[in-house]
Amino acid sequence: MSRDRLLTVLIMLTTLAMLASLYLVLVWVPTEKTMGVIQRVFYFHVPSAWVAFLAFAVAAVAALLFLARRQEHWDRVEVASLELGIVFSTVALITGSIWARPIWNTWWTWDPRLTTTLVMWIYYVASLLLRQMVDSPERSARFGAVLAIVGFVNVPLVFLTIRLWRTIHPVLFTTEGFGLAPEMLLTLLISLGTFTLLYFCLLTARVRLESLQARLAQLRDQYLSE
Amino acid sequence: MSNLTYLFAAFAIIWLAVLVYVLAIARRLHSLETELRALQQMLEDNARKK
Repeated sequence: MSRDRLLTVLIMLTTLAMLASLYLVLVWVPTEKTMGVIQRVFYFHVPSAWVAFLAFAVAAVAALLFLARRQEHWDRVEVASLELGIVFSTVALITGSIWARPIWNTWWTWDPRLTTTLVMWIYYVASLLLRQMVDSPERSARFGAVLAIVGFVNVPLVFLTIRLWRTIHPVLFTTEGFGLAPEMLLTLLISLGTFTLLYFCLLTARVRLESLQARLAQLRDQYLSE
Repeated sequence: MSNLTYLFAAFAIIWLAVLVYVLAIARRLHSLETELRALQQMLEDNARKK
């Protein structure tokens, strides 16, 4: 399957999944008794955070592969995935804050989960900016790869904070299973699938963008040398 | 503000963020493809002149 065709199929699948998710979240799933309608933010807040974790994991693996094989393709995957991780963690932070306002009566609190998520976000934004400051493309790619690998150390910590420390953030997955009604669990799982599809869709497009930029730079050099 | 307003704000931010990001990628892809085609044409013209 060609790249263009793959992207078209991914876009179509993502659109259908998004429509199904929106129907489930806004119409089908029952309203939670304690929090009311605002709890519906949960069905997009959790998938945003999941995709951010996934994106940072993919970036760390791509960074390792780049350092091991020195193939530019892996550097492009790393940069694209980091950028997507930042976009989705921004969405998770903002939607979490909006959800917190009516439930915790505050926009922000220095809870371990919120604090480690913010630290993770700042680190990745800074790492993308820092790698752009290195002039040599080869050194910039190596520097970026090391930053992506080191930064990933914080990701499991963000996930575990609500299990390791006392926190007001709800714990969803425990050793006893999911603390959700079957309809809520199904809606969450479909939403998680939708956001994962959206991530792969955007990653494919973003990697293509990086490849085109590299090709353009190569052609520019060729034109100037002629 | 009612809970419904907060819900609306959260949903608006999610979809707006995704839309803006997708549009930004599409715009950058379009401009790069145009630039690439122009550069390829210039290189072909140069090769023909030689």
